[in-house]
This record gives sequence, C-alpha cells and structure tokens, in this order.
Amino acid sequence: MVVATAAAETEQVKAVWGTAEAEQVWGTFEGNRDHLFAQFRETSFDPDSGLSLEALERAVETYLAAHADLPKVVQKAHAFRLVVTRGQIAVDPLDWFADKLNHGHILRRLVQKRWLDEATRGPIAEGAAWLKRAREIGIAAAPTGGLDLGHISPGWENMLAGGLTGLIREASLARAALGEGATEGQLAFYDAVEIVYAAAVAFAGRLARQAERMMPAHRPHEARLRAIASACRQVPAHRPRTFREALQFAWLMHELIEMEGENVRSMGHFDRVMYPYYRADVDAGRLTREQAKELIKFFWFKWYSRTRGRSNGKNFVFAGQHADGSVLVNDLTYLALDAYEELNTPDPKLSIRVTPETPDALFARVADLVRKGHNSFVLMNDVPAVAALVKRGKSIEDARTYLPIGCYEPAVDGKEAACTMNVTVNLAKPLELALHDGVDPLSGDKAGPRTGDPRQFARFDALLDAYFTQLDFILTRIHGHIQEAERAWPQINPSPLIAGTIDDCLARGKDVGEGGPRYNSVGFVGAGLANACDSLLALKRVVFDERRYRLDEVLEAMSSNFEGREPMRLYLRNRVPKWGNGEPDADAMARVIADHYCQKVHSFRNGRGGACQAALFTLTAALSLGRVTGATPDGRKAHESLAPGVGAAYGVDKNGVTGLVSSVTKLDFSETPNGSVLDVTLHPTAVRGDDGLCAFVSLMKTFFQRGGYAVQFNVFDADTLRDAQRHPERYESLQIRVTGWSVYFNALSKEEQDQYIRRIAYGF
Amino acid sequence: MGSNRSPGSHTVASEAVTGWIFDVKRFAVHDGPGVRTVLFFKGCPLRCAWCHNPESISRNVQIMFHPQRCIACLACVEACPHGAQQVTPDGERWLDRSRCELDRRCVEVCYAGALEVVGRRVSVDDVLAQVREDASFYATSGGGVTLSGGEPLLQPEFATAVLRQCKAEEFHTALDTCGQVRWKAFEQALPFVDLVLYDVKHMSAERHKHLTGASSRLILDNLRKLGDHGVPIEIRMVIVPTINDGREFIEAAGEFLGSLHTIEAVRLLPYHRLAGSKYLGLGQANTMPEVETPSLAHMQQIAGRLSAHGLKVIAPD
Repeated sequence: MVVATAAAETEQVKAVWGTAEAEQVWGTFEGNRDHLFAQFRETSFDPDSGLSLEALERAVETYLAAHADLPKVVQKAHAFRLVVTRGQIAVDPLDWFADKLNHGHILRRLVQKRWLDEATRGPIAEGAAWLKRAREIGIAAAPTGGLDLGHISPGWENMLAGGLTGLIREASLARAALGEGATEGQLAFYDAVEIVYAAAVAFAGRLARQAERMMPAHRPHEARLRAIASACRQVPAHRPRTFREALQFAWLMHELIEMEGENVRSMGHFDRVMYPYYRADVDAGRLTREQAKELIKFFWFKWYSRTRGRSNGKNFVFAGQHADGSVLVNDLTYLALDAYEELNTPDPKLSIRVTPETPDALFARVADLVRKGHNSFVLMNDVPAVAALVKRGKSIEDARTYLPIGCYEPAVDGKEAACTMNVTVNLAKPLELALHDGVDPLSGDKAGPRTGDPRQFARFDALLDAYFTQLDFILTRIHGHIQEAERAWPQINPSPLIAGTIDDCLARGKDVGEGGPRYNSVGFVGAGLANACDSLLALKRVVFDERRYRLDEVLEAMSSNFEGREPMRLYLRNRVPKWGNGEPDADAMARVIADHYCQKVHSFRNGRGGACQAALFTLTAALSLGRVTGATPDGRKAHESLAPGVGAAYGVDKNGVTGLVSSVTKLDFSETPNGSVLDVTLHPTAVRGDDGLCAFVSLMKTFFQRGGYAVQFNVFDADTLRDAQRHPERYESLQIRVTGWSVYFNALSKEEQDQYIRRIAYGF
Repeated sequence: MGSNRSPGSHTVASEAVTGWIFDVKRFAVHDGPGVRTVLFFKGCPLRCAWCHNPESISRNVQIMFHPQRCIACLACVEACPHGAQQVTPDGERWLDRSRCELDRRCVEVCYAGALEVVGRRVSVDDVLAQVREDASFYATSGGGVTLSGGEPLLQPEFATAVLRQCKAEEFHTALDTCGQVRWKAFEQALPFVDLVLYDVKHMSAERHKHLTGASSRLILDNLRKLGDHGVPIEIRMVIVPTINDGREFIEAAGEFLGSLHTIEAVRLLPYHRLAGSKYLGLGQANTMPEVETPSLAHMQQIAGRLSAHGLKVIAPD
C-alpha cells in the first residue's frame, strides 16, 4: 500500500467499512455478522502484499525443480516457506483475528496430486488398486492409497506453552543431543522443522505489518488493527500473553497446518488449554466475561463462514477430566456454550466429555441446547474411552487427555498420530461373500477365499465360521496394504509443521509419517454391525432353527432383491429379533461379531510401530457402502443404507430409546479404542418442559452409567422434516446431526433426507 | 394362576398373579416424575367420546388393523378358519368382526404387522422383568412405574400385586386412574402408591353421565377420600373445547379441587384428534368430537382461572 494513494483509499474504505469516526471495539459482532460471513467468499487480498497465485506457484515449481535431490521433508519445508512468506495476505479491520493467505492450495496439490500419485503408481500400486476396487464393490472404504493423511490433531498445549520459537529451541537441543549419531534423515527433519517454524513466525510478522499499514486508511478501526499487530508479533512465535492471543495463535496454526497438507481434526481441549489465559485476563481485569464471549464468537464464526454448515465441522472438545483424573469443568466451559447458543450455527462441532463426576448442571445445559436445535454436540464417556486407550498401550495420564479426532475417535493430546479413518470395513459384506463361496454377488468379483457352498452347511456354526473367515481375510488384506502405504508416507506427505508439535518427534528426529510420535495408531472402523448381526440371526432362526425357509430359497429371494417374496422379506425383518431392542439373542449375536472384529484388529501392528485400533461407527459409509451391498437376510433391500453408527438398522428399533440403550451398552467399548457412536432421535414432546429436560439428562447419564461410549441427538418429528423438504425456504436454519456431523437439513441430498425421515417416522 | 383375593396379603405368591394389559410405554416423560415405564391396563369403566386410546376401553382382546402396513398378500384370508378375514369384490381385504373368533391365526401369518392383537395376559413377573430393564433410568431421573390404561383398578388384585412388587424393589409408583371404581379397590392399592394421577372430566353429574356414560358422583367421592387419605395427587384434565372448557365447569372444578388437601398440581392436557385411525383400525365408529385442539392462549386462560383457587397448574407453554 503506497502512502500517496492513502486519501483515495480512505474514501474507498469508507464506502466499504462505514464512516464511523471511532469504532466501539466491543459489541461489534452482531453488527458485522454479514460482513464476517462473507470473509472466505470475498476476501480482499492486498495485491501489493505479495505474489499473485500464478507467480507464487511458479516460484514454488522453480524451487522444487532446482532442488529435486533434497529430501522430501526439506523440499516441503521450503515450499511452505515460499508460500507463507511470498503469498498475498489479507487482514480484516472488522475481525479480531488475522488472518488470510492467498495460497491456492499449492501444498495440498503437491501432496495429493503429485507425491501421492507417484506413490500409488509406483511402490504402493498394488495395494492402491485393491483398495480402490474394495471401495467400488463395498468391501471397505479407505483413502486413496490406503493412507489417512487427514485425522491428526496437532499438540495444542505443546505449541502454546513456548510458542514456535520454543519448538525451534527444542529441535536444536534435540539435534545437539544426538550429536554425531544423527542420521541424514534426522538432520533433514530438524532442518525442515526450523524452516517451517521460522516461516510461520515470519508470516505472522507480515500480518502485523499489514495491520499497521492499514491503520491510516482505517482510522475508525485503528485500535483493533493495533491489537492485531501486537498479537501477531507475539504469537505464534511466543507464548500468548492473553486469551485473545491464544485464540489468534490457534487460528493461525490451524490455517497453516491445513495449508501444509493436513486436516486439523481437533482444535483441542478448549476449556483445559485456553482456560489459564482466560482466567488470567479476567482476574487481572483486562477482559470481561462478556468480551471473552464475543472473542469466542468472532473466533468460531470463522469456521462457520468457511463451511456454512455444508461440510465437516471443526471439533472443539470440552469438560471431562485433567491428566490427574480430576474432573474438568469451569467458567469457560459454560461461557463457550453461551457463545455457541448466541452464534446459532451448526459449526464448529462441540464434543462434551463426561465422567461419573461431571455435574448435572453441565448435562442440563447441553441437553437444553440440543433440544433447542443446537444439535452439533457429541457427548463422550471418558470411562470406556480412557480404558480402551490404556488397553492399547497408552499411559493412564496420557489417555485422560484424549481429544476426539474428527468426530469421536480419541487420540492423546500432543502425543499421538492416530489415523482414525484409515479404513471403514463393511461388516455385512463378509456375509455376502460367505453366502456365495467368496464371490461378491453384485459385482461378480472373486473377492474372498472359498469357504464352501453354504447350502451344504448342516449347522449355523459353519456359516458363522465362513463369515469370520471372510472377515479375517478382508482385514488381513487391508492391514497389509495399509502397512505398505505407511512405509511410503515420508515420501508422500512429510509434515514438519505438525510433527514438531507432537511428542516425541523432535526428541527422536522423526516425522509423523516415520513413527516419530509417542503413539502411532491406525483406525479400523467397523460399519453395519446391525446388518451383520440381524442377517446372521435371521438365517440362524429361519433356516437352521425353525427350518421355515431353505437357504437356497432365501438366497434366491435375495438375488432378486425379494421381488415377489415380500412376505418372506417381512418375516425376516419383523419376526426375528433385531439389534437395538434389548433382545437377548440379537444382543448376543452383535457381541460375538463385535468381539471378533475388535480382537482381530487388535492382533495387528501398524507400519509405524503402533497399534491398530477398532471402532464401531459408520459416518457416511452407511450410505456409500450400502449402495454397493446386495439385499441382506435381515430384510434390507439391495443398495439401501447400512445401519448408521453402532445403532439399530433403519426402522427396526421398536422398543424405543430404552431398548436401544439396553442393546448398545451390552457391547464392550473398552475394546473400541478408535471410537463408536449411537445416534438417538427424540420426539420433541419427549424433551419438552422441565420433565422433558430431566428425562433428557437421565437418558444421557443412564447411557453413560451403563458403559455407553458416545451419543448424539436429534430432536424432531417426521412431519417437521417432511414439511422442510417441501418448503426448504422456511427451514433454512434447521440443523440435523447425521452420521457424525451436524448439517443443515437443506444441505442433504433428497436420498439422505428421505432415509432420515423414514428412520425417525418409526417412532422413538 | 388364580387371583389373590385377600387384599394386602403376602401369603399368596403375588408374582404369579396375572392381568391384562395392551401396551408398555418406556421412556415416558409426562406421566409422573422422571423417566417412567407406563403399563397400560386393558378395560375401562368409562366411555369418553374423546378417548385417545380406544383400544383401552374393552376388557376383551381385539384385533387391530393398520392399513398402511398391509401388503395385500391375503395370507390372513387363507388362514382364518371362520371366514372372518375376507376379500371384497374390489380385491380389498376386510375383517368381518361378527365372525371373528379371535383365534389369532390371521395375526400369526401377517408378517407385515398390519394385523395386531391388542391385549395380552401378563404376570407380575413379566411386568417386573421389563420394569427392571429400565431401572437405571429411574435412578438417574427420579422416575418409576406408572399404571395407566384403561383403568388399572378394574383389575385390583393384579394392579395391587404389581404395585406391591414395585415397592418391594423400591421403584417409585404412580397410579393413573379415572376414579370410577369401588373405594375398596383404592384401599387395596394405596399402601403401594406414591402418587395418584387422577382424571377430572366434568363436575356436573348429569353432564358427566352424558359424556362418559357414568355420573361424576363416585369419581368425586373417591377423590375427596383420596384427599383425606393423604396420598399426593396430580389432577389431570383433558380440555376438550365446547365440552369441558367453559367458565362454569372450570370454576366449579377449581373450587372443588382447591378444597382438597393433597393436590400437588393440576395438569392441563389439550385435546387432540390424532386417534382417528385407531378407531378405524378397531372397526369402531370414531367418536372423537370434531373440535380443534384448544389454543395455547385458551389453555393459559384456564390455567389462570384454576390458579386463582390456590392450585398449582401445569399447562403447555
């Protein structure tokens, strides 16, 4: 920005930002809400502040071409340095938090389009092809190549404690400690860490200077611009001095890490990590409670403005316990919930950890928010979550500081790289294979081993054995491919920026992809437990126990998608006990399948020396895997969705929520270290008034007391949703929480909407 | 099986007593404190035109038909040995209830669940097994078990046996009653009741007889006795526009209720007409009055009138 044009610019600015002489710094959120909402659609990058996207991309390409011989981690570090120090930037005088970089996803494309492509065409080609086909025919869904690059949380406490300069110092100490013994790889890693942290500090400095340059043209907002400049000189270089700086720190690092090529899947334990900064400000009289709430609103609104409720929201976790096991809940917990209520947005996504000591007041506050339509909440039970992590080798203190990654997959804060969504396995598919001697009936692929003609099976146990043989084959195959992919990770996505924040990457001189973190996990998510359980039980009952139908009759009916065999389908569906009703036979069957699945997964070690961890949930895989799964013996028709989460199949949970709780809590969630979730839909009348709030809290507490893992709620009746389908314009703010994230109902496809309505129309 | 004829007696194995219910609703929220399991007893001495549980009225087992579930497979027609399940010339199935012997073979073959038997005999043991399943919800909410119906006290031995066993296991108990039963039945049950939910439909003996088939005399007498007995009572009034929403009735009710000692609250419930399909499914004429659900403002106004008599009133808000 040139001084000579300042006057002209001031005029232009007045037009855009208003003409108030001196802005009131506080109480401005609501007035600027529309402006802030457009911040990602209409970002005004200062053209004088850096290179155009084209020029920036050329600079990176030129650098990479000239340094192809350098280790990938150093190449990536320099590419990062170029982008953050040369790209155009934007600071918004109406926002408290600075802010944006015009990076054009250059680094993401480098990782995902180039380095990942090279690997999937080269060293991991076979696994990548097998996994691709496995997704197409509904065996399992894994990310491209079998590498989950998107489910890691940086170590927020580690970063904030001493700032990035602290991490640089830690890196140089670790390098010195290794001395002569350091390998080339370790040295390259330390170089890369120092390059990216220095660059990140430089980036913040650019934002500070930009804010200062803007002051003359933005007199009314001078105070805020000065505050921004001051904050960006302090963080992320150093420990934040204030609550506002701590939030500024978190925003910048979120943006930089995502730009570097990772998805930040947890924004940390908000009321634990941010609380000291908040408390100190309030105690010193620097900040009022009301002002702190406003800062949280500005901060969170950035995420909502980006997603607009139409994609995965960002996870902030609250409450639960400290590392020493003492219960965690404080003033900031409740203040943030107040901010969330006032924001009235489906993003970010809030997780509430609970322990047996969590106060009723917190349950009641969350229950009240959910019933008012703020349903982006997941409640997670620390008891099984912590126990499960300890069983997989984490220390109890570490386990207690877990963060839910993405949705409800726990990973130790600042010590774990948990690739929680490495694969989602269709638990119904092995039954299809077992019923067709290893052949997938829809595609005709010989996808599994030959386990014999099931029509010759004299006893149900033979069928169950065949099912487990198919399941084990699939899991073993996937495990092998994931291990291969992990070995290629350092060549695909070196991540020095995030690695330096996770213990013990710096001490070991190893990147995340090289097994640097203290804990390294791979998540195996089991989807469609209800369909596998109900289908096996249906065959046991009707074919082997009652002998009502012969197996070949059932197979024939399934192959024609029950065409002309509707009474049989209804018998299978309505006359055999189903998972989710507290029925002993179904519950026992589900337990057998879940136990087998979890044990098999836990028998594997991953390619980075860590644990493979089982989970039971679905997210959108219920739809995508269901679409390529044929008719199943539980009466589900071909291509229909699998059961969502760990709950009942669509429409069969006829004993209401208490039956659902009774079934689900019979599973052993200390064996699902990678998480699980139950979706519960409640009718509005069930939670109305004081009685209803009390009942809602009771439902939550009972589920947890009985050992349930995580739960999320929707409070609707079917008629409301049907009306919303017909008149979307009247329901623009209607949020639902479905398969793991909270979205606007209008943002769902017609198919998803229909399925959702069908589900809740069956009662509650 | 045999019934226990000695009230309060512990000599007969009360868990062997059986009775007739037609439904168990779990996670019920507005039928007493906390989360409750509600047992719906079959059979009612009143015939309220606005009844929203028509399947609760008859003491006999009934066949209910849910047309939206029927896939017209006609298996029921084949299965019925009495020719009660028939096909009309238009190809529609219908149940000729005059020929139905209630032998349930049609229900057995209806995999779609379009035909349903309403009413089943259960033992105290059966009931308690279900109740215990939900005990953890009572513990976290202060809830318990509610006997409703129909009229639980039309089966006083069974109702008392269930209540006694619930109290033996320390579950909170509520009895939802219309009051049109002998006082002796109350005497038998009351030692095991923590809360009575008592329906008041009309004060005038004559109007009451017209609307429900029975005078209000016994009902109001019993209510007075309950007040003297000391058991906590929650009054429940379904407000049906044009039938029991007039000022005269409300004032009379307020005066009477205000004179009793142990009324904890009066809960006003707005009438709704959503039970129409149930009448059809039972092959009965829909007697529900063709009036609208009362407005919130109207409910609030009635609540205000009742409060003036020193009553705590719970109305929808």
